[in-house]
Formats: sequence, structure tokens, C-alpha cells
Amino acid sequence: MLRLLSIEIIKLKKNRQFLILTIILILSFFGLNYIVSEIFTKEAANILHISRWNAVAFINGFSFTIPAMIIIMHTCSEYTYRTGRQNIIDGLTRKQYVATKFVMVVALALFTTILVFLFAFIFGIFSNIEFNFEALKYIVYYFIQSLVYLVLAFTLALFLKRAILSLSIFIVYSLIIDNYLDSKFNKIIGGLLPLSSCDHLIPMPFSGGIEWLNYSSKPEYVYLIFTCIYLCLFCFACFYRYEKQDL
Amino acid sequence: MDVLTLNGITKRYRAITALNNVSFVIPKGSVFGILGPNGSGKTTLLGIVTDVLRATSGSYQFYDGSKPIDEIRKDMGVLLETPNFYPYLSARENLEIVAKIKRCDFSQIDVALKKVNLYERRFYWFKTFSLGMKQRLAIASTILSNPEIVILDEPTNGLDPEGISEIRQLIKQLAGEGKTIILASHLLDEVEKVCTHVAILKRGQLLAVGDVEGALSQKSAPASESTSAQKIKAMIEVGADNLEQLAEILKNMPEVINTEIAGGVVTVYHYQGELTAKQVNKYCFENGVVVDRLSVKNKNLESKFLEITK
Repeated sequence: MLRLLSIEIIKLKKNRQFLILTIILILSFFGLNYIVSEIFTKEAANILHISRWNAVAFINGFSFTIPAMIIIMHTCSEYTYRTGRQNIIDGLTRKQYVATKFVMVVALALFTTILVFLFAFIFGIFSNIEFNFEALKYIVYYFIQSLVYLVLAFTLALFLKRAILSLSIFIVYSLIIDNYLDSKFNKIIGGLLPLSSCDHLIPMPFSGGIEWLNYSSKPEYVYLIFTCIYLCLFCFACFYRYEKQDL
Repeated sequence: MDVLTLNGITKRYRAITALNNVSFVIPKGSVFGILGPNGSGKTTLLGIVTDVLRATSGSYQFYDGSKPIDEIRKDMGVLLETPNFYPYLSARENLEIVAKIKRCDFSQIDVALKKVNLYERRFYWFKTFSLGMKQRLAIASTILSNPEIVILDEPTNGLDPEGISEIRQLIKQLAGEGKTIILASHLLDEVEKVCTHVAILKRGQLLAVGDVEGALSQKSAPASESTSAQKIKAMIEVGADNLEQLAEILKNMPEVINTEIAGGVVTVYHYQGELTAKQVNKYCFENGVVVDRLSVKNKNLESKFLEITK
């Protein structure tokens, strides 16, 4: 596996698109967390009785577009330049190829989580609010959420092969369709759609009177189970598809 | 021993049947030419044995089938269709990726780059390369791991005459080292010059297969052929001061089927093995014509190819 990862590193370290997107990613996470620290004043904390980590995880949950772009760009460019095909011709097995990409997805999810943690930590220390590590589970949930979003992006890219198409569908689905269906049919599907099931792991921190949305919330473990099911489904679909298709 | 055995490989793309029940074996140490017009299924066939395409039905095996195919694929050098490399990486970095995949030593990279005359350009981006240079890099990547089996699909595409002759030298050199080479091409000349065996494909049908001599005299070719058509037409080009007179004289030779004046020479058609340049020269001289040019055109494969794929 280390050998396979070192191949990915050769591919990425000179890829300008990747480097620029990574810088934008870091800057956008910095900006987002700066906003959180501005909103999350002493007063707000006292009124809402919520943890800083919850707020941080929730707000950053809207920022998966850029890491998804990195995944989609990297996956689709292998189709465009036909280099993925070449990797197979040169001797990689199809399973190895997909597995390597999955490890990259996990690595990127981990990277975004570390960024969120670091920025929240730095802003937390410099704020005048009491800062502690309670409710750090929200950072773990954030990692899971990040993983689901990026695996979805990867699955779209692997199936559709076109970067712009995959990205458009990802944005429209993740920002609009999933949320719409989740609120519209909350009674029926109860927040168990692919993305909303992990979204619900991190409750909305600023909503005060969430009752008006008429959400039927379930215990955390239900959301966790569904998230795992979706992750497995996506993984299986990717491996199956790549194993069967003509490259 | 056979390197590769194909059993009834069929490949369909929706309505098109790209390969229809193709079976043959590739003996070890052969230079095996796969010949066919554009769209005859050559690349599809090679795509299947390199695992990038899935056959609709049929199977293939390398050697006796005991060694896992994934292991064998690492020990193969393959150039399929166009060279595919990362455009933003240098020639060297691109080969580093190949070397890592094939688990071979990085020291091989410079050796391979020198062999294809790209050593000086090794730190340049792939996207700055000309078509010929891209093709050279692809060839460097196929010989990188010193493979036992080399698959080349249109290897001389985009190369200048010097490059083409270098590729021929390289193929001969590899063959001399006992490697098995599978060469797909629509250039008959290319196949004729280097191959020991040949398979002829047309619209996914295998029309003839065997060693070059055998495939040419094969009787299994299209059923409509009469016995006289089994004989292969050959040509001799003859030049003299008066071409009309020369053509008239040559027409009277019993072995000659037909003559034709074109391009400043008289082309004499005859059946292979029935006429030699020496006989033509002697005959002309006896009939009072001094020949100033005489060349034997060995159009074996081409005539057979056109005949078979008609």
C-alpha cells in the first residue's frame, strides 16, 4: 500500500491544480472558522448552551465543495488523460487502483478534520470564552461527515468520468436536493438520506426553536448505522463498477 | 511453449461485434504480427489481454495459466494505442510511476531514456513533447522493466523515418534476446520486415494465422478462391530506354501474366516462384533490349492481405 500511495504522491506533488486547490481549501477553512469565532461570542454561548465544537463542526459542514473538487478533479483527470487505464496496463490491478483512491479520500477527509480542529483550537485559545475539550466527539462526527461527502464525490466522479458534470451534480445534490428531500419528507425517511444521515450527527447549533421545522430526530446510533451502510454501499459500487467497466 | 493462448474471444460493443470468436496461440520467442485494416479489432484484442477491456465471452491464458495474471502483467511491456502520460510531469517522473507500478529499479529509467534518445529531455514536461517524442517515451516505458513479453500497438505511429528504423532495430534486438513480441499494425511493410508469425483480422474475424510463410500459403482463406488465385502475384520492375518496346517483348514471356507501364518503368506481374530477375534480364537481352533497371518487388504480404481482406 505504501508503494501505491507513493505513486499517488508523485502524481499530485507537481499538479498545480491540486496545489492551488489545497491552498484555497486551507484559506477557506481559515475564513470559515474566523466567522465562527466572530459569531460565537460570549453572549451567544450563554444563550444557546452549546459547545464551540458543535458550532465549528456544523458551520464547516457547509464547506465540502472544495475538498470534493480536489477528489473529482483527481479522479476525472485520470480518465481524461487515460492514465488510470495506463496504470492498469502497466500492471496495477483494478482493485489496487480503486483502493488507492479510497485511501486518498480518507486522507483528505482526515486533512480537513485536522484543519477544522486546528483552526477551532487556535481561535478558541485566543477568544475570551472558556475553552475546553468537552464535546470533542463533534470533531469525530465531522470526520465521518467529511468522509461521506468525499466518498460520494469520488463515486460520482468514478461513475460519470466527467469533472464538471460530477461536480455540478455533487453541489446540487449536497446543497439542495438532499436537504430539500430531508425536510420535505422528514416524516417518511426521517433524515436517513445518504448525506442527511451524517448531517444529523451534528445538530444545528443556532436554531433555538428547532420545533418549527418539525424534525423527528433519532438517536445518534441510528444515524451512525445508516452512515456506515451508505459508506459501504458507495465503496462496493465503486469497486464493482471499476472491476466491470471497459477502461 | 506458448506464451499466450486465446480461446474464442468475443467482444461486443452494443450493436458492433468487435471480435468474433478469435482463437490462436502465440509461441514463445516469436515476433507475432497482428494485421488488419483500421477498426478490425487489433486494439480491442490487445486491450483484452492487458485487462483494460472485458471480453464478452471467451478466455485467455499466459503460459500454462498457473502463474497469476496480475504477476505476469507486471512483467509485460505494453504500448497500447496512444501514449498516456501525466502531461504536467516530466518524462522521468512519468517513468518513475511506471517503475513503481512494475516494481523495477529507478536506475533502469535513465537506461531506457537513453535507448530512445530522450535522455537530454528527461526533465521536460510530457506536454511539451512532440508526437514522435511522446511515442518514444511510450516505448521507453514498455522496455523499462526488461519484460519477457512486449506488446506494441502501432509502435511507429508519428515517428520520423529514422525513428521507424530505430523501432525496427529495437524489435529485432528484443527478438534476438528471446523476448516474445506482439506487434499490431496496419502497415504491412512493418510486419513483413520484422515478424515471424502473423494473424490477420478483419471486422473482428480471424482470417488467417500462422508463421509468415504458412499464413500466406494457407488454404483456409476465403472459400471463393480458385486454385490459381492461391498462387501469389509478384512483381518485377524493369526499366529501359524504350518502355513500349520493352513491355511488348516482356508480354511474350510465358511466365508473365501482365505488364503495365507506370512511373517510368514496366511492371511485370507473375506468380511467385515462376520468374526471376535473372530470367527477365536474359530474355530482354536476347530480344535486343538492354535493361537499365531491374528490381524485384516482394509484395507477398500485401497482395495476400488485400486478397484475404477483400
